[in-house]
Amino acid sequence: MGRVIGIDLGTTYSCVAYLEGGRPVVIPNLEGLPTTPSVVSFTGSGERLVGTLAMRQAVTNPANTYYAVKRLIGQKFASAQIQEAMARLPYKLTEAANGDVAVVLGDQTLSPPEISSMVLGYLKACAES
Amino acid sequence: MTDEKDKGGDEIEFIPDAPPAGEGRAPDPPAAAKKDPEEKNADNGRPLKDKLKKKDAEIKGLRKDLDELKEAHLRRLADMENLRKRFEREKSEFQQYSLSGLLLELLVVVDNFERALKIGPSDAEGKTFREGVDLIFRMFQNLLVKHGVRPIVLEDRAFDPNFHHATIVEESDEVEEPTVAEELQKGYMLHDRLLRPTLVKVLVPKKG
Repeated sequence: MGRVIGIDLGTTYSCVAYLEGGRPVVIPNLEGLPTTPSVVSFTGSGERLVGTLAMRQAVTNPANTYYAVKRLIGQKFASAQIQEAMARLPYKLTEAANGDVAVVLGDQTLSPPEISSMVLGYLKACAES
Repeated sequence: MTDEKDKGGDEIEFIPDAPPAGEGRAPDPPAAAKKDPEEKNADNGRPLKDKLKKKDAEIKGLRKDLDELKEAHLRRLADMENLRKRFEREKSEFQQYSLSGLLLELLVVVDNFERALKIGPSDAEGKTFREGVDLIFRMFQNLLVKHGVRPIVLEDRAFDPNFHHATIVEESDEVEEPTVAEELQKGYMLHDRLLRPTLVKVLVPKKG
C-alpha cells in the first residue's frame, strides 16, 4: 500500500517523515542519519552526490557543490540579494532567459528548483528504501 | 430482502406525486386519492405502519451496531495510544541503560590507567611505563573491535567521500584526481556503517 511522506526542504538541512498512528516518524537517510544536508555536488567524473557525501567533499570541489540553493528559488538575477550573494557563494550564478537566477555547472546552467528537486528525489529514495 | 425494503421506502415517498409507482399497493386511481384521501389512508394505513415498524426496528439495530463499533474503535485507539506510550518509555529506558555492558568493559580500561598512573615510571626512561600504557591501548582497541568498531584503513590514496571528509585542500600539479595527502584524524566503521569519516587533507588538480 502506498504511504504519504512529508518532506521538510530546509535551506541547510532537509528531513523526511511519514505518519504512523497520527504522529510523524522521521525516516533516516541512506547513511542512517535523521537529517540530510541540502547539498548537491557534481564531481569531476560526472557523478552526482547528494547530502552528507556532497558535504564531505565540498572543500575539494567548491565550484560544483551547491548549498543554500533554496534561498535562490524565485529570485531575479538582477535583485540586490542575488548580487550580494554572488560575492559570498563559491559557485557561480548567472541569469536565465526569464531573468531568474540560475546556477552554473560547467558549460550548462541549472535552475535552483532543479537542484532542490535532487535533494527531494534523494529523500524520496531514502523513504522508499 | 434489503432491495425489497428499499423499494418499499421509495414507494411511500412516491405515492402522492407519482401514483403509478405505487403499483399493486396503491390500487386507487390518483383522482380518487385526491378526492378522498382519508379513505386511501384507511386502506394503506396498515401496511405503511408495518413498514414503519420494520424500519424503526432496522434503525434501532443499525444504531446499536454503530454504537458498538464506535466503542470498539475508541478502545482500539486508546490501546494504540497506550502501546505508543509504553513503547516510548521502554525505548528511553533502553537508550539509557543499553550501554551498561560496554561501559562495564570500559571501566576495566579505566582501572588499568589508574594503576599505571599510580605506579608511574619506574625506570629512568619510563620504558616499563610506556609498555604498560601500550598494553592498555591495545586492550582498548581490541574492545572496540569486539563491539564492531573498525578503523578505516587508507588503502589507495583516491579521495572517497563515502569514507573521507575533506578539511584541508591543496592544489597540486602531481595529481589528476582528488587525492588524500594526509590523514588528520582516523575514521571508524561500526559494523557495515560509517561511524565517523576519516578527516583528511586532499590534493586537488591545479586549475587552468
